[in-house]
Amino acid sequence: MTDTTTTSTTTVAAAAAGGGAAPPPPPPPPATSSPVQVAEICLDLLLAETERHFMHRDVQNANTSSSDDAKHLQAIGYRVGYALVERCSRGKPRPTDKLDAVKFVCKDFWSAAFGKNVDHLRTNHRGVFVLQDTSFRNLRHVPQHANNDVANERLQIPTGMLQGALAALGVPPTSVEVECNSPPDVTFTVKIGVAP
Amino acid sequence: MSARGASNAPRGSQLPAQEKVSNELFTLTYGAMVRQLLHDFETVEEVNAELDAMGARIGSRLVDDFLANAQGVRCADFKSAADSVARVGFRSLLGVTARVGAWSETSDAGSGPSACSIYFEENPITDFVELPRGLEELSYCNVLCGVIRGALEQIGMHVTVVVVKDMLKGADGNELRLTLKEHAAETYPFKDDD
Amino acid sequence: MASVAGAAVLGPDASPWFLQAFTSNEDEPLRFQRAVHCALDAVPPVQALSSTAQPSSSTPPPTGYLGVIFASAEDACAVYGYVTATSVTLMLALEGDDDVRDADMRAAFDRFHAAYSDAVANPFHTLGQPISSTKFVQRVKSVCRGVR
Repeated sequence: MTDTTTTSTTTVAAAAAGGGAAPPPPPPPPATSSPVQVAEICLDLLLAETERHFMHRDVQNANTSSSDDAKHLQAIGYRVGYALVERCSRGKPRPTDKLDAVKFVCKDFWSAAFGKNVDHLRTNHRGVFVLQDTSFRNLRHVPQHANNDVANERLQIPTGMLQGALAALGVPPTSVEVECNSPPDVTFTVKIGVAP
Repeated sequence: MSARGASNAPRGSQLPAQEKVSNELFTLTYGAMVRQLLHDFETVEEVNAELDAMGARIGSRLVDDFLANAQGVRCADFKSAADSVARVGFRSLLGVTARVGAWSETSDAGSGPSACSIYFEENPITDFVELPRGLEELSYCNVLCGVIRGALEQIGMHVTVVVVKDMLKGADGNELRLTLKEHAAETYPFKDDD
Repeated sequence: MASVAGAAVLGPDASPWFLQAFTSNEDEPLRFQRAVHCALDAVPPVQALSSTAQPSSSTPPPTGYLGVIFASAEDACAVYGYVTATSVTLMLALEGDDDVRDADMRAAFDRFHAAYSDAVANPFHTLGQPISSTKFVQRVKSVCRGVR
């Protein structure tokens, strides 16, 4: 890591104002979906059931490896991330470069998907981005000293979401790796346009 | 800005304010999961069964949380339990209003009605969903049947729950039919008061 | 009097995800498609962000409401454009002589965009493929009817 960029309102606001002489963007259209909110426990249990189904079926079946199962969960996350970006980017300018796209993901997308912003964003400015969320919502019920597999299972859908979000923004990552040594502190390493 | 916020708990609910997430995220996650299940199974019937089974597991875990947080929610008999599901459960957990009705005749044993319907128009799991041709047999909302079945089973009531009307299939409202098969709660001491 | 002759959604690679002409005249769909294709050439190509190792050049790609991106006196039609943050181009082709207020077109595109993002959220939509949704067609029709 040669440089550190921390997401802050100033950097992202500056990017938003980069339109120059263009007329001010219209206010974002009202959401077309109902403003209904569901209890968080419903989402938690849905995610847990989804993980249970796709990770633990056919344990005896030698044909399905656990990496296949992880791929299914990531595919689910991909769709969620893609569609969510399409919604939370309405009325926002198109990212100007990879860093701009990642910043959007760290703020607007993360807050829509995980209830808060990414805490730290670091980049080497050559396509590697490290996103750290010190209190990742999807891990808040995972005990701090839990078996690594437990956290790993809970991170497959979010990994897919991150891939889908970046793909929708025009910067499909070549790889997303996730590391979690002490839940709910999690680090995603995203490579865009560089060998995984 | 934040998708979370306890301040948005529905008013008049008998459950205390709790953490909420946007329905958008919830409905997208459910939809993507259903799509993946369709890839995973060979027949739509298997998907329907799995949605019901997943729902039942969710329901049995949900009921503990529900009862722990509920104030004055009565589930002593089928009638009050179904009422709580529709009026408190739907509202506090899914953020939508549901009504209960079409009670069956009270049986001669005096144990109250053994079947009823839950009606609702707004369905938080079907936002954006449009069933394609060829998937008419998919019971997209089967997870709700499973949740109710699993939750009531946890408090000793064996019920069957089926989708009777589904707005995804052009109905003017959603209707789930609950039928009590067996109630094991007679063994509970609190039932012997009278 | 101006009216919308057609609506289009184009993916980031300019592939048509949705093309719909709103007219009863038999020649109209062709005229509309011709206009859309001309408009396509008029839109600056969306360059992939990931294709460049360096941050892109100083001029940011256009986003949001673009106004008229193609006009044909011969066909008496004008194509308005809108680019989403996800590099999807939305187009509305108008025919007729009267000018349409910019504010009305912006409002129409906001509704068009909302309809598009709902269509993408349908779990049975295949990402990156044309949109086949009757709900979407109805909503786009209603958007077009709103433009006067």
